[in-house]
Amino acid sequence: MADLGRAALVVSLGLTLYAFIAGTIGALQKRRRLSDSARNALVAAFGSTVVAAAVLAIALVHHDFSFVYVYSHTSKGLSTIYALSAFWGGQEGSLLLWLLVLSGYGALAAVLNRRLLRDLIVWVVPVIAGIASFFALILVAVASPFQTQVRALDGLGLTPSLQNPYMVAHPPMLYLGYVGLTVPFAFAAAAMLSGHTDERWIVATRRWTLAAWMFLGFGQLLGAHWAYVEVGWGGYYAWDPVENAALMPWLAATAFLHSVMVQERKGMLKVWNMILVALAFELAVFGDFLTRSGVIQSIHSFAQSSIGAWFLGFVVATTLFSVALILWRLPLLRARTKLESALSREATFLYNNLFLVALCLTVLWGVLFPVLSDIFLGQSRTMSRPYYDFFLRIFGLPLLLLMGIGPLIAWRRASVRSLLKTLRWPIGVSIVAGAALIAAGAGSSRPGLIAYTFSAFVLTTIVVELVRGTRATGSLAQLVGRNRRRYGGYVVHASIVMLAIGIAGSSAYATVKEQKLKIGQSMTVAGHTVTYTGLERQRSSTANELRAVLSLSGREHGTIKTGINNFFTGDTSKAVGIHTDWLRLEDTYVIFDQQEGNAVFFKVLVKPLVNMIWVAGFVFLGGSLVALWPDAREQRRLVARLALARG
Amino acid sequence: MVALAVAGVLAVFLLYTALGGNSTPLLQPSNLANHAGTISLTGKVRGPVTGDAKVGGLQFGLHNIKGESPVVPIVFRGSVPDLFKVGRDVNLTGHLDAKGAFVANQMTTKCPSKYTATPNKTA
Repeated sequence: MADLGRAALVVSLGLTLYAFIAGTIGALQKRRRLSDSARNALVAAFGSTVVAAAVLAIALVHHDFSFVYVYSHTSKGLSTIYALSAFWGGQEGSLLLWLLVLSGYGALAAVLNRRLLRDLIVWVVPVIAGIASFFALILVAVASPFQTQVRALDGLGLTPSLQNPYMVAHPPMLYLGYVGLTVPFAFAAAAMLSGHTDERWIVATRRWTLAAWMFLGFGQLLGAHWAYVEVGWGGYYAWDPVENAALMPWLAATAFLHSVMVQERKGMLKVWNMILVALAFELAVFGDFLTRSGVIQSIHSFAQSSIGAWFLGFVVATTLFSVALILWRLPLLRARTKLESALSREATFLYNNLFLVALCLTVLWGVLFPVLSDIFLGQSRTMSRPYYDFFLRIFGLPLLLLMGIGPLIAWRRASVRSLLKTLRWPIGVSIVAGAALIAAGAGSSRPGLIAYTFSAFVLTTIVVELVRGTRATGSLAQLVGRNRRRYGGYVVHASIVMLAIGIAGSSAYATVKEQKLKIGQSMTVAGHTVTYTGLERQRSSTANELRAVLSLSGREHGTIKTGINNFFTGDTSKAVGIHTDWLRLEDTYVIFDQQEGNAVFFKVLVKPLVNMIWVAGFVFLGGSLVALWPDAREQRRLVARLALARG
Repeated sequence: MVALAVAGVLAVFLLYTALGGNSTPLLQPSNLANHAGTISLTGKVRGPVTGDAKVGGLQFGLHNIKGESPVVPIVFRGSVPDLFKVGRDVNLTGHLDAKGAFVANQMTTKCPSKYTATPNKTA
C-alpha cells in the first residue's frame, strides 16, 4: 500500500514537471500540441494525486500503524471520522491535501477555459504545474506521508481538543481558500507572460477568487468559533501568528476583489491588481510556511522541521518571479483613464484598498517583528495585543464607513452636495442611532460607539439601495437576480457590519469577573446572577468528567454546567459552560478555573452580541454564494470581451 | 493624491511605533537576567510544582527548552492552562521581582510535540 502511495506521488511529480517544462516550451514556441499535452499531464497529475490521497485515507481509516503518519497522528480507539480528519492533522498529510486541491483546481480551471481563453491557458498550465511540482517534490523528497515502520500495536493518538467537528471542517476549508488563491495568480501571471493583459483574466477568475476568499473567510470564523466554545479562555481571536496567517491573504484578497471592479469598469489600477493578486498568493504560501516552520513562536504547536527553508526559498523565488514579470510588462499595464476626482467611486475604492492593504501589512509587520527585531535589534521582541487592536481600529473603522459610501457615490466625479443628498437617510439614521446609544450608556467605549454608529450608517445605505432598486424593478428577487454580484456584495457588506457589531459588543462592552464560590453561594455579573448549586461526576468513554452546576437568574434563567475533563490518556481539558440569550445575542460564559476543597474559582464573562459574529458567518456565506452563482449575463460579457480582444 | 494617502497611512504607523511601541521582549531563562518591565518568557517547566495559582501563587522552575540550566524560579498567579505539566513548554508574561523570581500572570502552553502543527490554544 505505502509503495503505491509513494509511486503515485513520484508519478505526480513527473507529470507536473513535464507539464511545467512542456507547457513553457509549448507556449514560447506556440506549439499547440505540446501545450495540449502539458494540459493533459496536469489533469493526469490530479489523477495520480487522488490515488496517493486515497492510499493515505484508507490507511488512516483502517488504522494501519505500519504507516509512520498513521501511527503518529491516530490511535485505535479513534472513530472513523476523526481518524480521517488526521489527514490534515499533521504536516505530511496537509501537504498532500494542498497538492490534491492545487492539481484539482488547476486541472479544472485549465479544462473549463481551454477554448475561450486558449492564449492564456497555455501559460496558466505551466505556472500551476510549476507550483504543484514544488509541493510534489517536497512530498517525494522531504516530507513523505508514506514512510513505513514495523507495524505498531497502537498509535500515539490525536489530542482530545482536536477530536471535534470543527476540526474536521475548519482546516480543509482554509486549505480550499489558501490554495484557491493560486488560480487568479496563475491567470494574472499568464496574462503577463502572454502579453494579453486585457481584463479577461479578471473576468475569468472572478469566481475562483470569490470562492477562495469565501472559504478562507468562513474557515476562519469556524476556527474562531471552535476556539470560543472548546478551548475555553473566553475569546475567539488572539492575534496569534497562525491565525494571522489566514487573515493576511484574506485581507489582500478582499482588496483585490474590490480593485478589480475599477479595472473592469475604468481600465485603471492594472499594476496595482497584479501586485495584489501576487500578494494574496504569496501570503497564502507564507501562511503555510509560518504554520510549518516554527520560525515564529506561537501558542499553536509547530513541527520544527527542515521544511521551513524550502518554503522560504519558494516564497522568495515566486515573489522575485512576480516582481520581474510586473516590471517587464509595465508598459502594457498603463491605465486607460486617470483618476479625475478625490470624491468619486474610483477614489473610494482606492481608499478602501489602501486601508485593507495597510491593515494587512501592519499585521504582517507584527507577525514578522520577533524575527526582524532579533536580526536588527539583537533581541527578539513580540508585538502584543494592543498593537493589533490599535490598527484594527485605526484602519478598520474607516473601512466600515467607506462600505456605506462606496456603493452609493458616483463614478468619475461626485459633488459634496449630491453625495450628501444621496446619503441623507443614512446620515440621519446614524446620528439618531449614535444619540440613542449614548443615552443607553454605550459611550463607555469610544471605539465601540463609533463602530455602532458607522454600522447603523452602512446598514441604512444597504436598505436604501434595496428599497430604491426594488421600486425600480418591481420585485426584490428580480432585482437581485439581475445583478447578483452587486446585491450579493451588499449581503456580504451587511455580514461584515454584523461582524463589526459582534466584535465591538463582545470586546468593548464585555464584563469579566472572577470569584471563589462554595455550594450555595452566588455572584452577580452584568445583571446575571449565577449560583453554584452542586458538583457532578460522570464517566464517558474517554474521560472522567467533573461538572459544576450553576443556576442562572436575573435577566435570564437557566442552568449552566462547566467543568474539567480528565482524559484517560492523562490530558485534561476545560469544558466551558455557555448560556445564550438569543434575544440579545449575549452569552454568559462560565469557566471552571480551579477547585479548592469544596470551593471552586469561577470566571464568568458576559459577552453582549457575541453571537452576532456567528450569525454573520452564515450571512457572509449566503452573500458570497449569491455573488458566485452562475450568471448568463457575465458569460456573455466574457465572450464579448474575447471578441473584442481578438478583433 | 495616492502618494499623499500612502504617506498618511505610513505616518500613522510610524507615529504609533515610535510612541507606543507595545512590543515585549521575548526571552528565555538564560538571557533573562537584569531585564526590567514586562517580559514574555518561554521555557520548559521543571518540578516540583508547589503552591496555588489563586492563593499566594503557583511555584515552579523554568529552564531553556534546550539546556537544563539556569533554572529561574517562577511565581504564577492566574488561570492555569489545561496542558500545564512538568516537562511541557510554556510561555509566561510577567516581570522580574527584586529577589530574582519571575512573577507572571499569564501563561500559555505549547502543545506536546506529537500533535504537530494543528492549532491548540490554551490561553
